[in-house]
Amino acid sequence: MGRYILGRLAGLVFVLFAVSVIAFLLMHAVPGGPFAPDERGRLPEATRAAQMAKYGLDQPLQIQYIKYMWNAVQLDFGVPFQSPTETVTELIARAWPVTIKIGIPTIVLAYGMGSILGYIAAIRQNSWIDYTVSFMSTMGIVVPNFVVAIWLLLFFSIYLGWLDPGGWGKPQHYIMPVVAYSLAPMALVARYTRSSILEVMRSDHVRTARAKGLHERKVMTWHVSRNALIPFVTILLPEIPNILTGSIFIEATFRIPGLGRFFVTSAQSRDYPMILALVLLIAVLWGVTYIITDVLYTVLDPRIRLGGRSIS
Amino acid sequence: MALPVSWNAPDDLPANLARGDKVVHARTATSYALRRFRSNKLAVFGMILVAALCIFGFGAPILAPTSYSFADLMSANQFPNREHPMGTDTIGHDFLSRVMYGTRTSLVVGFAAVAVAAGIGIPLGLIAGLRGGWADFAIMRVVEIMTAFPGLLFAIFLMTVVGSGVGNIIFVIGITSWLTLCRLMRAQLLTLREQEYVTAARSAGATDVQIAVRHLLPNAVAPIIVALTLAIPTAIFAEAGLSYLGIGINEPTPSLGKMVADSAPYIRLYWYLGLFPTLAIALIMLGFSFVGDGLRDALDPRQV
Repeated sequence: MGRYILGRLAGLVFVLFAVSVIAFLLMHAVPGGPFAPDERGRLPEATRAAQMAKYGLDQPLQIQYIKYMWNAVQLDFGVPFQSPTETVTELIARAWPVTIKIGIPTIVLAYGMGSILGYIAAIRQNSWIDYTVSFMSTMGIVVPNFVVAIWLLLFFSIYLGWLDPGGWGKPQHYIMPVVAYSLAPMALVARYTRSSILEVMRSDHVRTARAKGLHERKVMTWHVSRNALIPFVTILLPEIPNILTGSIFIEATFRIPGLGRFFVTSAQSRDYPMILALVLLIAVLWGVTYIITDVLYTVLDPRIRLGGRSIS
Repeated sequence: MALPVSWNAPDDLPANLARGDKVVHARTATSYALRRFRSNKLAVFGMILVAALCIFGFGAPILAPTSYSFADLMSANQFPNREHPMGTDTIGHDFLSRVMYGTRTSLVVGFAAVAVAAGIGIPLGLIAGLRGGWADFAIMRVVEIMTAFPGLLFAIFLMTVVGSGVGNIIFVIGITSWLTLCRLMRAQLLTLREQEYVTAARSAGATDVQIAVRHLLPNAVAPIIVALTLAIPTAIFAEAGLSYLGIGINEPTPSLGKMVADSAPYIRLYWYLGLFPTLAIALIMLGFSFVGDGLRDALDPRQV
C-alpha cells in the first residue's frame, strides 16, 4: 500500500510538471503581457523595461520557469502583478478561506441531503417520492448554478425581502450561495445513491441475507448501504476539489470575495505568477483526490487490487 | 412484444403478391430505437421543447417584434405589458426580441461548438482506436494532460487571448471539449475490436478497412450520437457562463448569459430582466438533456 501511494505521488509530480510547463508556455506564447500597452495606455519604455527586469521577465523563458518552480516548491509563488503589495501566497491565503467557508457547508448539504434523498427514492422505487427526486435531480444537474442563484435572489431577496442580495460577513450571507451551489452535486449524489442502492438490493448476497431471516434494517445497513458506497466514492469524491475551489459564477452573483474572480482577473491582466499558482493549486487538489479515491476504493471493495488489476 | 407492423401492399407489387395482401416488414434496429424513443414521455417532451426553442430562436428575424439592436430610449424600463410582453431593458430594447435573438445565439454556439469538438475528437479517437501503437500513445497522452488542466481556466485564458465574439467562443468551447468524444470513440473501437463477430469477419478474410467500415463504425455510431446530443447543453452552458463573466459575447450580439449579468445592477427594481433570460437558459438546457437521455435509453438499451 505504502509503495503504491509513493508511486502515485511520483506520477502526480510528473503531471504537475507537465501541467506547469504547458501553462507556462501557453501564457507566454499569447500576445500581450502584464506591462504591454493596452486600452489604459502605454508605459514609457524605460519604466516598462524596469518593471520587466524587476519581475525577472527580461530573462530567457527556461530560466524564468526554473526560478519560478524552484521557489514554488518552497511555497513562494512570487508577487501577483494585479496586487503587487502582497505575495501570491498571501493573496490566496486571504481569498481561498472564503471559498472554503462556502465549500464545506456545500459539501455537507449536498452529500447529506443527496444521499438521504437517493436512499429514500431507492427504497420507495416508483413511488411519487421517487419520481419527484428523479425530476428534481435532473433539474439540479441540468440548470446552471448561476441561473439557480438568480432565481433564489429574485425570490428570497426581492420578492420576499428576507435575505440580503449579496455580500459577505453575516451568517445569512451563506444561505443562498450554499443552496445554489449545492443543488447540482446534491442531484448527482441523489441519482448515484439511488441507482447503486437499487443495484445492490437486487444482488445475490442481499437475497441470501433476507432468506436467512436477517432483520430488514440489518440487511439495509450491513449488506446494502456498505456496498452502495463504492460508486459513491469513485464517482462523487472527485467532485470535492471542484467545490473547494469554488464557483466563479456563484461568487460573482453574490459578490463573495473568494478565489473565483481571480481566475478571470489573472487571465485578463496576464498575471503570470497568479495563473501558475492557480493552475498548480487545482492540479494538486485533483491529483490528491484521485489518489485518495483509489485507495478508499480498495478499502471498500477488497476484490479490487491496487495497480489497476481487478479480480471479478 | 408487439407483432411487426403490417400494411396494405403498395402498387409496385412483387409477382407473388396480389393487391390488398398483408405485407410484413421486418423491424430494423433503428425502428426499434425510434419506438423506444417515442414511448419515452420525457424524451418526446424534450424534443418538442427543442423544436419550439429552435423556432423561437432561429425564427427571430421573422417573428421578433424588433431587431436586436433597435432601442427606443423613450420606452426604456417598461415592465411586461401588452406591447412588450417581456418588458424593455434599461436602454429601451424590446426584451422579448433580445431573448429571442439570445436564444438563437445560444443554439448557434451550442451546435457549432459541438461540431468543432466532434471534428477534432472523433477523427483523433478513430486514429487512436484503429491504428493503435504510437499514434494511440501520443493522442492519449495529449488527452490525459489536457484533462489534468483545469478546463474553465483554460477557456477563460483562451477567451482573453482571442477576444470575445461568436466565432471565437465557438472555437474556444470546441477546443476545450473534444476530450470526452475522443476518449469515447477510442473506447468504443477497443471494445468492439474484441467482439466475436469481428474475429469471424477477420477469419473470413475481411481486410482491416472492411472491418473498420462495415463492422466497427456502424456499431460505434449510437453512443457517439448520444454523447454529441449531451455535449450541446454543456456547450450552451459554457457560452452562457463565459458571457455571464463578461468574456464571452459582446454587444451588440445578444447572449442570454450576458443579459443575465447585465440585469444584476437593476435586478432589485426590474426583476423581469433577470427572470426571462435565466428561464430561457434553463429551458434550453432541459430540452437538450431530455432528448439526450431519451436517445441514450433508446439507442443503447444495455446501458441504463
